Amino acid sequence: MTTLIALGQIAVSILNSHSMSLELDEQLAGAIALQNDMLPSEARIAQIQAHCPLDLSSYCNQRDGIGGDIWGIEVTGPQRVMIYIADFTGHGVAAALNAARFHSFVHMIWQRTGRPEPLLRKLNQRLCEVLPTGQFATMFCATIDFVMETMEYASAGAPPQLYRASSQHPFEVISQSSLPLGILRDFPYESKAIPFHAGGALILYTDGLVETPKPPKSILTADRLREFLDKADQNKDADQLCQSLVGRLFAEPKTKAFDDVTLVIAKHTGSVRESIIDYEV
Amino acid sequence: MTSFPIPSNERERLKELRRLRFDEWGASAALSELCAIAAKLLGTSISHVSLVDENEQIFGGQVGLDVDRTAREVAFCAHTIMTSKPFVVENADSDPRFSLNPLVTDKPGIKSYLGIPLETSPGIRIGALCAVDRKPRSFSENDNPYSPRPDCGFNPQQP
Repeated sequence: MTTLIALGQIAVSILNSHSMSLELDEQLAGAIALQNDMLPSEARIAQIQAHCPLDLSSYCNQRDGIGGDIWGIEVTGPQRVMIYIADFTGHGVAAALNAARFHSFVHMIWQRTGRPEPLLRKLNQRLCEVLPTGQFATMFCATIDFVMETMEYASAGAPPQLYRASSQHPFEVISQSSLPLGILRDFPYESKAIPFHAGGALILYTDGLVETPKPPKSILTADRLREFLDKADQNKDADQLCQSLVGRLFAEPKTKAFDDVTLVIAKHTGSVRESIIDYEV
Repeated sequence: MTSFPIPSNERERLKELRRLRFDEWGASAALSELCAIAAKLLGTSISHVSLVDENEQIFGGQVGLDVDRTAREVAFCAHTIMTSKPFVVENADSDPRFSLNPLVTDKPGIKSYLGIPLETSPGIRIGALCAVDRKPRSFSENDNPYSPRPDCGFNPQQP
C-alpha cells in the first residue's frame, strides 16, 4: 500500500506536468507567431517585387520554434532596397527576445541611414548599450540599387555570403573581417560597393545552413554551397532554388539542425520597373 | 438526485480538474506506464488513474480495461476522493455499497479494490490511482514484496 501511495504522488506530478506542457506549448505557439510576424510578410514581399526587378525567397527555421535568426527587407529609395540577415548568439527564448529587440532597432535606424555601414555602426552602438557580455549578433546587410546596378554591403562577423554579379558570372564569396555587433562599441564597419546586374543574385544565410549537421559532417559547407549554386539551373526562380537547397540539406530524414537555419535568396530579374513603391527615407 | 458521495469542496475540486486540462491531452502513456507498475507490484490484473469529473470518471491511464470512462455513480473512485486515506474494498460482493454495482456484477467483474486519492493541494482530491482485482483479496503491506525500504526517505504521511 505504501508503494501505491508513492506511485500516487508520481501520478499527481505527471498530471501537473501534462498541464504545464500544454500551457508551455500554447505560449510557444504564440511566441512563434509573433516572431514570424517580424519577418517580411508575403504581401510585403509581393509589393516590393511588383515595383523592383527582384525575385525573393526565404527559409527560416528556428531550432526551438523561436530563436535568434532574423532577416528583413526595406525599401530605401526609388528602385533601391536594403536587405539584411542577422543571427544572435544562443537559441530559444533569450535569443528570440534579442532578435525582437534588434528588429525594432533596425526599423528605427534604417530610416535615418538607408546604407549598410552607418546602419551597422549605429546598431552596434545600440546593442553594445543593451546586450550583456557574451551576447552578440552577426549581421550582413546590403543595399541594392537597381538603377545604378550596384550593391553596397557591409558585414558584422557574418559568415561569408555568396553573390554573383550577373547571370554570366559564377558565384563568389563576399566577406569582410569584422566583429559581430554588440562587442566593441567603436568598431569601424566598412561598406563596399560591387556591380549587380540583371541575372545577379545574392545568397544570404546564417551559419546554421553550413553547420547542419554539426561540422565536420555538414552537408552544405560554403564551398559546396557555391558549387551547388553554380551547377543549379539558371532558369530556376528564387523559390525553386531555395526549395532545392533546403531539400538538399534535409534529403536525409535523419538530418537534424543543431542551430537556427535561415536562407534568403535575392535575384535581380532584369529590367527596372517604372513605378515607385512608397519608401520612408 | 445523485447516488454517489460528493466532497464538500466539489466546486474547487472541479475547478482544479479544469486547470489540469486533462480532457485535452487524452490518455497518458506515462500514467499507463505507472499503472502497469502498480499492477505488477500489487499483483492485480487492473490498474488505472481515474480523474473524477462532475458526472463521470475518466481514465487518464490504465491497464487491463477496455473502456476510457464510466459514469461517476458506479465509480469506486468517487468514494476514494472523499478522504485523504486509501480506500479499500476487499470483497465487493459482500459490501452493500457495491454488491449491486454493474462493474461488480458485470464486466470487468471487480471484486477487490485499492484506491489512493490523488491530492494536488491540501484537500483537493481530483481522482485516484487504483489497483483492482477480479477476486476478493486484502491489500496489506505483507502482500507487497516491493515496499520502500524504511531508510529510503519516503514518508507517505508527508507528501
